[in-house]
Amino acid sequence: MNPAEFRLEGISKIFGDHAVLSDVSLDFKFGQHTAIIGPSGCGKTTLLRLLAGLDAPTGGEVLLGDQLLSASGHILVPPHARHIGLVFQDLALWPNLSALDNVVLGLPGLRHARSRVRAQALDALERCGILDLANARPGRLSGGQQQRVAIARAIAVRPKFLLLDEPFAGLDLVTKDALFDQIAGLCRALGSTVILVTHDPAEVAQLCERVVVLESGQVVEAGRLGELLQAPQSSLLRRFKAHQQA
Amino acid sequence: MRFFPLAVLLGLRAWGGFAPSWAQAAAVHGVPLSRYLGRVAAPLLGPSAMASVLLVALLASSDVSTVLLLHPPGQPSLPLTIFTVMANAPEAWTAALCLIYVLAVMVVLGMVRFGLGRWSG
Repeated sequence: MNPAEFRLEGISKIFGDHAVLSDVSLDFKFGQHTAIIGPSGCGKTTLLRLLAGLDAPTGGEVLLGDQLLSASGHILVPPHARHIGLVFQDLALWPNLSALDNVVLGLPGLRHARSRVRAQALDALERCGILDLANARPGRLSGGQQQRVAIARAIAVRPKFLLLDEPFAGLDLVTKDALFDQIAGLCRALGSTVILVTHDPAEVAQLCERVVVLESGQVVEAGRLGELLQAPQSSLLRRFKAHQQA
Repeated sequence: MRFFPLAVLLGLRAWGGFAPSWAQAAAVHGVPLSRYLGRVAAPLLGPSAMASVLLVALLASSDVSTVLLLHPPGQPSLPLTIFTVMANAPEAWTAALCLIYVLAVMVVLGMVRFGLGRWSG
């Protein structure tokens, strides 16, 4: 498998009689951090779940390099074989396990020796600056610390693509900025590419070179944020530009 | 058997408290189902499963038909003995029994609290 790029070709996703995504074609190049933005309910998270292999598209294909991952109702390659790390919106930390065990349990797919798995997990926690919290359970950690555990679990597998599903909602600006800096540093060090889902265009500039704007399940515009803001096509970016100017 | 649906309801309620994303996170990381059930699901369901078993056992043991089914004939059953004591024994005996009952409940609650404290870290 050549993880040079994720590609979505003619993707649609229908829940019941509601089309969440309609004929979406996109590519996510390795090395180019990309943000998917749009208002609530526009299909951002659905798109990320299709990339991750948690859902199958109703129509169209998902490819990684030249390998077909999912096609029309079928998941052909399971999530753990897609070279991805995923930070969920609710973080999805297992509450009965310590921070270290959350990361360790996420590693058995690598089939390494136990000591090596533990060392790799400790390394991930150290990279995220929470080595001293290794034995704490999620319930005892602050919001920012929980985010770091979730990020540590995601990067411990050394993913080619790090998928972030609005992971910083509810955090204060200082913590959010620190996490963005940390993720940018981690991605540089590990060679991972970020695909960030957010509804806040202000977050995009901190991490991503490219932005894809979704509205009502369709791609309205895509490109560099600065260029898109010169003549925004989407209501979200128009409003964002107006706020910036005000 | 009459109380089995109650145990199932309690179990389902505990299972309903599971975030769907926990299992999805396991899928993303390739955690085998058996390992996920053993390391995450079972420890989280354990306390409510134990509570269900205790509750059903208590209800069943106080049920006359269960007692008659399990108890050897010709001897007074435990519930009958308790009712007899409550109805006919001196007031001091009944008060003592009530105190023992309160203490027993406190011990059980203390154990549950200790267990939940360890579980939540």
